[in-house]
Amino acid sequence: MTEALRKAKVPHMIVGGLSSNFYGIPRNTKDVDIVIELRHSKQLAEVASHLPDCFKFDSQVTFETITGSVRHIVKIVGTPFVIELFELATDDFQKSRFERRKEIFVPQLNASVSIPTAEDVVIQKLRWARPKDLEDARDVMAVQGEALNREYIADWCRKLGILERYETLVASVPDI
Amino acid sequence: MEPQAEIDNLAAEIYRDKVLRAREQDPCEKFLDGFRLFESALAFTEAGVASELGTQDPNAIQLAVQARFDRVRMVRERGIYEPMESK
Repeated sequence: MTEALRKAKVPHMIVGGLSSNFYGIPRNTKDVDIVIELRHSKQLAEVASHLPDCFKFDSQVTFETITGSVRHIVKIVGTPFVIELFELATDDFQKSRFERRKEIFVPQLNASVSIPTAEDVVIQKLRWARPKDLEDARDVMAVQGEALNREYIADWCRKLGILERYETLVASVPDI
Repeated sequence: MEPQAEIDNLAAEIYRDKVLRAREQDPCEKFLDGFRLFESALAFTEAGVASELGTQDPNAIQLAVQARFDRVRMVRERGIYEPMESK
């Protein structure tokens, strides 16, 4: 998928469980979440043209009610594993997270992928705040320790109205 | 020590160990673990479904596993995702 996005010149980054695995404690994930920046809707058709036949775009497009981001699901024939493409939302944090994304080279794949920074992973997880998100956020904080820019996280959490949630999280992270 | 305190201490020790191991691990390996762990979990799910259905037919197992994933997705996404038409 990332190769198809690159060929279609669609800027993107991998988010969700895979990005928190990179910074935190690895866990099973049943999908790949990718944020994409589309300049026009025809780009999706171009992406599809670069994919193998077993990748099928779901005809039902949905939007996510928290940030309003539009989601396209790509199913892979023969496996329940899915790829979710989220169009970049227009809110300030989403735009900032996307602009700050970093490229990492994965030697095992002989390819580079873009992911958010560790701080932005924590903030996004705090926004969602489902049990697994809070666990992921705690794991990233525990593993990254002093390497995290906590002031940056607190600043965004204040702007997003989730500072109290962040402070509760900080209190739950053991000093390791 | 109270039994609950012992359990809490053990849980804290296990978590500490997980964090220390994650710090030592190659981040790219951790990234790829998401897929690997999914494959392992899927194999267990398929074995469970095969046992429930009493069949080794791969098509029947795949359909039942897919139905299970679809149900879980539907429950987890209720109220979070809406079809575009209703926007």
